[in-house]
Amino acid sequence: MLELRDINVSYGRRAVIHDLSITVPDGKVVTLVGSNGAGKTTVLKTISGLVRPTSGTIMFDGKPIERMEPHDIISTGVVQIPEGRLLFKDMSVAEHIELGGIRAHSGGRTEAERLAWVYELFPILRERREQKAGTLSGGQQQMLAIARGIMANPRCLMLDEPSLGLAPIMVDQLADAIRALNENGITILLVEQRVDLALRLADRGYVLETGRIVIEDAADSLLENPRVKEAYLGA
Amino acid sequence: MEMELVLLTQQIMNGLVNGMTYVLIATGLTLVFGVLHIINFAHGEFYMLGAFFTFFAAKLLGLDYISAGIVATLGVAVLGILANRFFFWPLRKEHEFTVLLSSLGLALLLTNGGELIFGADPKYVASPFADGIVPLGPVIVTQQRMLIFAVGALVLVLLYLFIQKTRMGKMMRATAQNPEGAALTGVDIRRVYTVTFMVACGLAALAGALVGPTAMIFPTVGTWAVLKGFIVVVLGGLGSIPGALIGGLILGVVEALAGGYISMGFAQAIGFSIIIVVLLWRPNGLFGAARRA
Amino acid sequence: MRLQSILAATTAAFIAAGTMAVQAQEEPVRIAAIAPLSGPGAFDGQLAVEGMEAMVAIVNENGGVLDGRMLELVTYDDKGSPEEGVSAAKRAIEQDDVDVIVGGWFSSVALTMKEVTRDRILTIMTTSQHPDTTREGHDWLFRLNATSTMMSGAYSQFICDRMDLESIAFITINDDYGRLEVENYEKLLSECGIEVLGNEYYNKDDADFTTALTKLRAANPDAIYVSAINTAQGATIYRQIRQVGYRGTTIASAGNMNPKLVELSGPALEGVYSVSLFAPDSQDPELLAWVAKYEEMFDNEPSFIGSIGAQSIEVLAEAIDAAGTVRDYGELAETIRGNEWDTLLGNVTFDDIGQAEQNIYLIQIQDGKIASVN
Repeated sequence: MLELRDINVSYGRRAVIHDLSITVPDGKVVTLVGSNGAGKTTVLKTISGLVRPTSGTIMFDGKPIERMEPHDIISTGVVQIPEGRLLFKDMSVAEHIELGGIRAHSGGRTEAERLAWVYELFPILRERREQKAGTLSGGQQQMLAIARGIMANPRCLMLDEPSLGLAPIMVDQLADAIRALNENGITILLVEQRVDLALRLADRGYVLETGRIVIEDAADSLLENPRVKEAYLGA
Repeated sequence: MEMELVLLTQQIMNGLVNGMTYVLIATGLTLVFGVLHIINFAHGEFYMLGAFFTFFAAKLLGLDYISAGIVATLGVAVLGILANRFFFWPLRKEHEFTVLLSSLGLALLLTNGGELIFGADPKYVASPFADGIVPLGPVIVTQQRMLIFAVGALVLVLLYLFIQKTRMGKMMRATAQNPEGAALTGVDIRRVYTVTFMVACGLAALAGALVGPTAMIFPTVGTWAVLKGFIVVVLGGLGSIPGALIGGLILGVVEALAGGYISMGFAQAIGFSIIIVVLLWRPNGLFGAARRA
Repeated sequence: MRLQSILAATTAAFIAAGTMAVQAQEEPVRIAAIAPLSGPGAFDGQLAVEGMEAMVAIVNENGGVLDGRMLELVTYDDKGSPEEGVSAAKRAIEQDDVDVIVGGWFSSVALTMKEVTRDRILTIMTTSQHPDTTREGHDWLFRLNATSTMMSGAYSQFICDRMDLESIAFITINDDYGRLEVENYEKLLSECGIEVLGNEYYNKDDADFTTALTKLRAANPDAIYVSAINTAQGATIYRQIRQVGYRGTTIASAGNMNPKLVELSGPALEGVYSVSLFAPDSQDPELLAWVAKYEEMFDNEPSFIGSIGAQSIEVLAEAIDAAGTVRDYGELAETIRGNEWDTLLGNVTFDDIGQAEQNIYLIQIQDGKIASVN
């Protein structure tokens, strides 16, 4: 449903993404792995509309979205949960959840249903409704970031380094949450430094090195791929 | 002894009213900084335009003072939208310093344009409240100054409710705290820019319309306004609206006491001295610890 | 091809020579007008320059000076500040090579500027009232306005004799002129038994005077003497005197009255006295001619400050003709000092240090108009 074709991105005169093509099929979990600085975050920002590609197309549901504004892209159902969570530290949990819905894609769950679902997925957020985001723990902040994303009623959810800075027990919970989202019909594009975790969650994976896709395969094959093993799995 | 107390009360009263005009000027300045991280040196010129628009709305359209003030405020709010559309929005990705210098350029453009269009002769914004005196016991205040204080207080309450309670206000706070996070949440950043400049310029114009009848206006009054605004904003903390309120009132009262008990010659210097003291004591201003809108 | 270029070059040479000849014949006498054209004093500067322009037009219509050289005004903005005044004077002399300078609308500017123009160019200071504006050792320096000492002598006599005051307080601009004003009047008025209850200084960019006026009102003087040199601040002070609830007499400082100030101050100026070199109901034909020209050229009402500007041009034009030179400043200065000049403000003579001696009139605001008082 989400398809990037021959995408090139430059920061100023420096090209950072070269002829990149990725397909994220409906209902699947696709992961984009690679080392720091490979350009993973840039790819997600390009899809979200924060960064404009110099060439190439991004199709969502058969419609080009690469020239749309970020808030309009969200309305189509493509939602990014950014690296570092990017919360509003002096705003309450409830306000984040409210703002999450301002550009919600229409169709599917109603706003009330999404709200109920969010609190069901992350009951702690209901308790902390009036608390400011800046006072939450790291894990709770990640939950809030995901909750904010869910309120936008995503059809395709992009997660950028969701496990960053989380305690091991929180990482397990996170993995469960991602699975649950996918089982509920949300397509997932996952960017993760923990390549093992990402590949276990994903159906398909892309390996990005210095702005180019170097390997593309089914996730379980990638787990066995010697090059991947050596470079990313520490084996 | 009794007389001394009356004089002291009168000076504090003078200071609070002057302080409220500083608050009105500083609020827009701090709002633009808080939400968009733009230091707008042209803010004082929107104050100047507010006063001149009030003058011309009364003179050319034959409006009474209050209607003229409302028309001027709305008119300058629209200019704020245009200033954003053709000036600040296109510059949004430039370095902060470039934006700051550009706003200085805009200020000069508006001042010189003002001198060309309005003429250099001072003008008086006539208000039916200008000379009417309200006695509060032995202390006296003009009706115009009561109006400044009342409207100032009302506007701040409304602004507070707008920012805390409305969807747009929440979008502005979100943008202030994390612009990228806000964009990825679905906040239309361009609309936030537009509304912020509209509100900030409208506030500056309202201040101009209110303060106009207490003094003469001329095209360079904006320089005075922006200077007072900056003192207040630095004092209260960049980007903090409660800071602008407290900072403005403090500056007004301290100036009045300094002017009343030492000399007006010192009053200005004292404004700057408090800034230095406050900045040494709290480098982010009184309310600067948490930078919020 | 070759013939063509020779032809072209010859033609060009002829045109150049022709232009030079015309220029030499008609080169104007260039007068630098250094005045506050921005900031709170901008309007006063505008009135001044307009007054000069109107007189320049009259002189030029009558054939200019020195057998057909036109006068040309080159304006500079001193922003009412000494630093800017100095830099404007330097630019006028060094870059633009003007023939004479007219400036010094505010004393603070005149006092600094005169050190830059000293022995370099003939300079006429205008409305500045500080006595030190003219000084020994400045051979090419003149000043038209009466000094504040001359003014205060005449004015305090009137205040003592006719206003029946027991006490007075001052609100004064904090500059060279203002400080001297207070000194003069405190002395002169005390001598005739008027008690001085206080003085408040304000800065040249202040816009609110309520704290100072509140303090003066609390002292409860019979009169408040306002020394305000720019229209914007003056009008604000006169209005705020009433707004703080003061109901006593207001006295306007000498030489700072103009129709705009009267209009802006509204009822606050009604009945207020001042003194001026400009008698509003004078029937002097030169004054009437200038007023007519001024009203033809500009929208503002002719004012005292404009008439002083005009007087500077008139004296210069007549003196240049009489001396037969512009650039021989020694000769020109000698001519100015050595003669009596018939100007739009009446006859004027200059003493050894260039200080003008001219009539001082008492004026009062009556029914929103400036009127002479006898």
